[in-house]
Amino acid sequence: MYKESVIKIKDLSKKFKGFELNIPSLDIPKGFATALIGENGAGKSTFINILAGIRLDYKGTIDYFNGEKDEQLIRENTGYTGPGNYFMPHWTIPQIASASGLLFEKFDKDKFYDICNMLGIEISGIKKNKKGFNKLSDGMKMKVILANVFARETKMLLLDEPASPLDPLMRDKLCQMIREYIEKGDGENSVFFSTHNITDMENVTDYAIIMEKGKIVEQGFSEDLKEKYILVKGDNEDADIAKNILFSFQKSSYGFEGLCLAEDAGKLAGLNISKEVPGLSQISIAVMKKYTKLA
Amino acid sequence: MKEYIESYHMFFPSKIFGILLYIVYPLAVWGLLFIESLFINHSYVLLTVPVFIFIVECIADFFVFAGYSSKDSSRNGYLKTSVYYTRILKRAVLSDVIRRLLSSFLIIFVPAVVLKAQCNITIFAIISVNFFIIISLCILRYFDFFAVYQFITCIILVLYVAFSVLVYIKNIFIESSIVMLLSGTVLILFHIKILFSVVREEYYD
Amino acid sequence: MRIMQNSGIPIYQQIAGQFQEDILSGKLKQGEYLPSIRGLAKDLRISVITTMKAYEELEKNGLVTAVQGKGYYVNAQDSEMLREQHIRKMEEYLINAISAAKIANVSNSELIDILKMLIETEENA
Repeated sequence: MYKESVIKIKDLSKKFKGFELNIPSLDIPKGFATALIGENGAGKSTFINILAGIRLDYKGTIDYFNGEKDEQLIRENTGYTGPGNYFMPHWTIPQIASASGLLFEKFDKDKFYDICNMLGIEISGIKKNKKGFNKLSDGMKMKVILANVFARETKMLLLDEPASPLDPLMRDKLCQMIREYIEKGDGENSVFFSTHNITDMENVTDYAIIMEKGKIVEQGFSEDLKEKYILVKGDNEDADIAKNILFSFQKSSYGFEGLCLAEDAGKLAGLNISKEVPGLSQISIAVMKKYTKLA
Repeated sequence: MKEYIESYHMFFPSKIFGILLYIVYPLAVWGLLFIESLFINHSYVLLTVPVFIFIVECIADFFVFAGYSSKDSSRNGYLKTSVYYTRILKRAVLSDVIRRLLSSFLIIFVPAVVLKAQCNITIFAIISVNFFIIISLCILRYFDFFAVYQFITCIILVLYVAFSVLVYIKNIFIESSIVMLLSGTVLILFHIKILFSVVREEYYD
Repeated sequence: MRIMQNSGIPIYQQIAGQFQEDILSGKLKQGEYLPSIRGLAKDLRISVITTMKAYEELEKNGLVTAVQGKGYYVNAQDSEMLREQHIRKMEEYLINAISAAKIANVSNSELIDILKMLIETEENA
């Protein structure tokens, strides 16, 4: 099946104090869920803010929806969620609903309330809701933010750290909501989310982009990455040989473990090792460590 | 029309604020006026009404638009993602001006009729209070501190009273009202333009 | 459809394997469309790329055909033809084994012994 891109980026750069966001070229696949993995401060939020159009001071070109030029159409079809200051602090849920109706054409108020109910957000008699957004817990805030974005009709979601404030049950629910969104679009809907901990979102991640200090150090479809790298485990007596071939090398009294490229596996021939398929979490940690060592 | 009102109410801090603004405030001013009239038996007592209106409106604005003239990205992550942000802000500010005109008209006109006040003074009262409030707001909305709001309100209030005295002495009620009406309109449009450019700036570092 | 998350067998292979069984047993008929990759991902609670890879695997093995915009449908399973296909593959692998054996200086009888041993090991596993 042919793989198209929902966003095409060329020569994107933005200078900061301390580091620079620099992406010479990136195509975000359409119809899939892409994870942007990186440590805090790696530039993920800045990157998503630029994609969402809420940060305009950058250099480079971004092409949306295969050449769409109408700014309004792009923003209308893009659902952005972010951490921290999102809704006005004093807004109640009915106020959020009415504001969303003004801010976006295709906001479905009933759907918003339905999702709120489904996520266990207390609306307590819709007309009577009194609690301001700011007074909600972090997890509850994010639930409301997500309910709001999923109540809009969009073609692309840009979610900045959506899983961070959520408990494991809600994270699983979020993954399912993402899958339903992608299924509904039948190839037209795409999701792009950032995370500093891919473990909880690994089951929904189709494409992974690993970012370190503003640069992309690895990317690929998750299935391809899981074939590109091998998780190797062995005995300590072979540790010295393995150390040179593996990256993200770890040693304990029970033996060593680390990642290596599948193509380098031959260099470990003859050693008493076990090979496993690594998870995205292990791959991203290993790659980020490797890049930090070289930098 | 409904969208103008909804845009405006988006900035209200709570439902209670709406009730206070639309119902309690006019009644309170009339109540105070009534109490005053028990002690002072002259239609001059009407002159305290613009003062009340001025103070209440300036302070109330703190809870609605405080800080919007200065760049501060911390409050509107969500609003920035919509292309209608500036449109909503403009509608809210205009609704606020019109709401104030209507409510100040009502609050001043009713007692004016009851106390049989002079027509030109009544008109001057309504227009001048709105004009000076607009001047205040253009300055106040740069700040997000309540103390600053209180301080600047006092200063402009003094200027307002001094100005009113001057107009009274020179007896230019209607002339000054026309000038204030025109310049007030210009000022509002200019203020909205500033708000737009501030919103624009929030997309940059 | 049952997937085991921690079995060591990649999920896409498990999916492909179960569909292959259904196709070869006739449970899925010729011309029938497999569930959409996104719908299946949703139902199994996995990523779309995994179901996609499973289907690509089935396509590689000649079991299904991809139609742009519509999905994957089941091919006519001529079991005789399929069997021949797999026999051809087997001969390919055996030829590779023979050349590797030559390089490693393994004699023909040794090679046959190793083959017998591997078959035994596979059957016991």
